[in-house]
Amino acid sequence: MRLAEESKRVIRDTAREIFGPAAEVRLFGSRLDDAARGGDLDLLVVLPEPLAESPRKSLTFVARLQRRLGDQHIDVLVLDPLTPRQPVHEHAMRQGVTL
Amino acid sequence: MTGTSGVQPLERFLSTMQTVSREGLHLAYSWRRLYEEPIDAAWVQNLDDRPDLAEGLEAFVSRFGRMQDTIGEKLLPRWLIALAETPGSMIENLNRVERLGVLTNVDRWLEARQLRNRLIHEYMKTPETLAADLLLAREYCRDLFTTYSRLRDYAITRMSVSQVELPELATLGTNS
Repeated sequence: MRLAEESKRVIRDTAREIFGPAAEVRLFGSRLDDAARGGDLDLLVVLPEPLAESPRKSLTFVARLQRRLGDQHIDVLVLDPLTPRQPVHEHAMRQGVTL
Repeated sequence: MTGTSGVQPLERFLSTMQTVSREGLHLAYSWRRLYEEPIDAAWVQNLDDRPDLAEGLEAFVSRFGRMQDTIGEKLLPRWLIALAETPGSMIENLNRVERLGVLTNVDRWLEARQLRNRLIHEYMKTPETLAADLLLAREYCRDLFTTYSRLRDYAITRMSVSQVELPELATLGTNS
């Protein structure tokens, strides 16, 4: 995984700030590949309870991360018990490493 | 140095204001048309049978993105240059513009940019998520017009630019 410990901490803290203390964040996609360089930050946020206003909150999450970690391309998927599961969620769950 | 064409920083800023005001005019048109009907998942599902609406949606998304780009990447840096400042990265510029009172909130600007990326890419889109994003875009659009209007006011009151040099403000109207 190509992500500094400090960045992982910032991501976890920011996720809890916005999605609540039970939010779990997983990293998936190209940043898991140690041989690759650069690349988007692909994050899956898993929530045990349904979340109101998830589209707006994921925008806030990305904006704060861009300010705290530096401007970069970040994609976020939010998965709560009511989210209709799609292949991309299954993929992110399978591949994702908890931060 | 004043850039490639020898244009003075203030002129360059004013001509970019012209560009943004034209973009605002076209975005306002698409905005009013798009939000004439209530948008929900069923509306999104019907798009396949209503090519005119689908085309209008496409125009809206593209105009929303274009106005954002022109303001963020051209207008704000050129404004800072016209104030004899040195622009930096996008986020540095946004922070500076926020301190100068033209931008209410840097986070909101970055949120609008992320929303635009989400609207452009087909990544994980269901009728429900697209409808939710379009309802958000309606509000984030207002921020673009507010930013333009604050810059115009700033230029008139603090930079001694005459009103006639600055294009009239496009408005979104009050569609609800």
